[in-house]
This record gives sequence, C-alpha cells and structure tokens, in this order.
Amino acid sequence: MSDDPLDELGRRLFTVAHTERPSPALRERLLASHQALGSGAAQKSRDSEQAGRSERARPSLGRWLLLAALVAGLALALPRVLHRAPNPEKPLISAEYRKERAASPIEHAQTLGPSEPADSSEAATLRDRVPKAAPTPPNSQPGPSRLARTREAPAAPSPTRAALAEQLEWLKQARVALRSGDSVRALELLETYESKRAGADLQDEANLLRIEALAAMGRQAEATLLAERLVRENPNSPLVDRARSFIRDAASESHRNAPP
Amino acid sequence: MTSARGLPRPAGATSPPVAAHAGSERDHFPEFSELVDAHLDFIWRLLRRLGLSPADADDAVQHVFMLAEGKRSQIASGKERTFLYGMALRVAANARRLAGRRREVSDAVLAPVAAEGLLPDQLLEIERARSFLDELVAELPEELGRILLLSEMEGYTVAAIAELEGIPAGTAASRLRRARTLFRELLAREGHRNPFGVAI
Repeated sequence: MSDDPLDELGRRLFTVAHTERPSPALRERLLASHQALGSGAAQKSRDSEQAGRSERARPSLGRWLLLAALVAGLALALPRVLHRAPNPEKPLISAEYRKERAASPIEHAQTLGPSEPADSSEAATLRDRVPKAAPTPPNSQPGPSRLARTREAPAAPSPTRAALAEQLEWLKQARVALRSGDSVRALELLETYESKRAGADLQDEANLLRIEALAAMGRQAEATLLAERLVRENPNSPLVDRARSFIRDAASESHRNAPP
Repeated sequence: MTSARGLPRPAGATSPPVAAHAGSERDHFPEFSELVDAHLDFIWRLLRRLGLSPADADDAVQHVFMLAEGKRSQIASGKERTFLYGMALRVAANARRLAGRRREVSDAVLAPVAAEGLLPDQLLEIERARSFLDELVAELPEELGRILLLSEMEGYTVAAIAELEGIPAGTAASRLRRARTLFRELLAREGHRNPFGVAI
C-alpha cells in the first residue's frame, strides 16, 4: 500500500539521516562570501530585483548590462572609425609610421599592439574619449597582454568591489580547474593570483585550494605542511575545519600506506 | 505539521520552514542570512544524501546560495525553497560528475555530530547507518530516491513534494508509493546488514 509506513529499521535510518547538520562554520562562510560580494554583484542584483518587482515591464539587469556593453562598444569603435575614414588629404598610414615600421617592425609591433592607432597623440586623445572599462576577470587564459591592460586600466568606481570580484573570479577559475582534474592548471592560476594579489582578502581560500591542488598532484607532504600552517596561523578562520580534516585524512592515508 | 503554504515542518528541524517567511503576502526577497537560516540544513542534508562528501556538500551549498542570491529577481515570492531545491539537484549532478561519483565518508564523522558529545561507537553506528541508507537510496531510480528522502527524511507531504518536484500531486503520490515498495524490498534483501547492531 502506498501509505504504509516503513518498518522500524527504515524509519530509524531516515531519522538518523535527518540528524545530520552542516558545520556551523559553513553558515559563517556563506555569510562571509556574501558579504564579500554584498556590495558588488549581490547589491546590483538586489537593486535589479527591486526595480524588476516594481515594474515588470522594465528590462532586466542582464539587458541593461548588454545595453551598457553595446554603448561602450560603440563609443570605443566610433572614434576609430571616424579617424580611419578614407580622407584624400590625410593618408591612412602616415609617412612617419611607414618609416618607423620599416626601421624596426618587431619593436614597433610590441610598442603599439595590433589595434593601436599609429599616431601616439591620436591614441592619447582616443583613450581620453573612450569610456573606462572595469578590470577584466580571468575568464579565459590570462595572457600577459591582457593582464597588462588590466593593470593599466584606471580604477573602477569602487576599487574594493572590483578587486574582490576579480579575486573571486581567479579562485573560481582555479576551483573549476581543480574539480575538472587539472590540478596543474589550478596551481598555476593560484600562483598567478598570489603573485598579483599579495596579501589578498581571500588568501585563506587560495591556500585551501592550493592544498587540494597539491594533494591531487600527489604532493602530500607539501599539502600537509601548508594545511598545518593554515591552521596554525588562522585558528579562527572558518576554513580551518577543512584544513584540519585534510590533515586528518592525510595522516590516516599515510598510516594505511605505511609498510607493516 | 503543515504550514499555511502546504510545506510541512520536518520533525526536529531547527531551521524555520519557508512558510515562516512566505506565508504572508510579502513582496520582497528575504535577506541572505534569512535564506541561509531557513534552508541551509535542508539543502546541505539533501546534497549529502545525493552522494556528495561533506566538503563537496559545503562547496555545493555555497554555490547554490550564491546562485540564488544572483537570481533573486527571478525567484517568485515564496518559492525560494523550490528554487534552491532545483539548483541543488543541478549542482549535485555536476559535482558528482566532476568527482567521478566518488564517495568520501572518511570525514563524515566530524564536528557537527562530534559536537553533540556522542561516544565514538555511537558516532560509528550513525555513520554506518547513513552510509547504509545512501547505498539503499542510490539503488533506487533517482527521482524515486529524491521523493523518498523528501518524504521520509524531511517529512514533506505529497503536496509539498509535488510542488518541489514540479509534478502533479497524483504523480508524486504514485512515485512515493513505488519508492516505498522498492525501499522495503531493498531493506528485506539487505536487512542482515542492520547498522544498528541488533535486530529491530
């Protein structure tokens, strides 16, 4: 019968399962993560929610972002198009540019980059006219030129928010790499993150990921040392429990693998 | 106990059910901390029973709640639990795929239970019982296993299960019937492995 209850053993199994609870540190971790994002993405989302609920017909946050990106793209492209429009009085490539490129093509290419205008004064003018872009998160391979541009970009309206969002993105990429089994890539991302973000707010998170990456690569000793250091130096961190559990697991693993 | 919206209050649950916020005609999304307090235990427990290790469940919970916070404008008022439930199922599926369906029970006997002051053999018994249940539920078809967990572990009514699963109540009832029948058969087959030591 459908409504027949389970027998005593079945009920007891589910009762025991119901008693399982997450660590209290998890709640703190969630709130801390939210706080880290709170003034950034979450706040935007909250604003969007209020706008969306009050006026359903109004475009969503995503549409606004798309529109903003389009406007920024137009603002970026328009001056270039205007400057590059065929002009019989002014050739597209100046004589100085041809001469300079002929003299040292490689050096010139490195200096200007592929899309830089030939005239440096024009470039400066354009840069002044173009809307400032926010720092770019490392969604794809963080090549040196991209990082260089990120560093060159002027401060966003709120540097702290942008920096935190960027840090989270780095860690997210590292976590994704780690979960997909690419520990080497995860470690590379973490090293880049740490070299760019000395004393970062999310250093503990980064260290925990590094521990996991090292362990996944078979570098147990390094991982254990790092975990012990994390526990020793951050006894009040909500991540300490995970570091401790890692140390425990590593110890039991080594006992299992030890020769009789 | 059933809330005004039909969602039951699981016996012994410490966190307030969704209806505590949603029963009235509120027009705002709950604060993030309210969302966490109301649903953290349920979502985490669900992820655990869906095969994630405690550490993976922690990560998955964080992912689920951050997704919910990011999509708060898309969540209908009073449907937070349904949204979180759907997200948890997706995140669990992804996490299991990434982890190659590995099961880690070594760190399951950690702080949450240890803090209750239980003896080591009691902790071991509890852990064995949970592992045993996980094995049995894993043998059920996935949608039946979920429904059985919602009914027997969380104490949800058929109506509440139907709402969470997004299926008609009749379908939920027939699935629950089938899930119980299969579970009884599994218990009869595996009952000799009774994790509680003595015959019940």
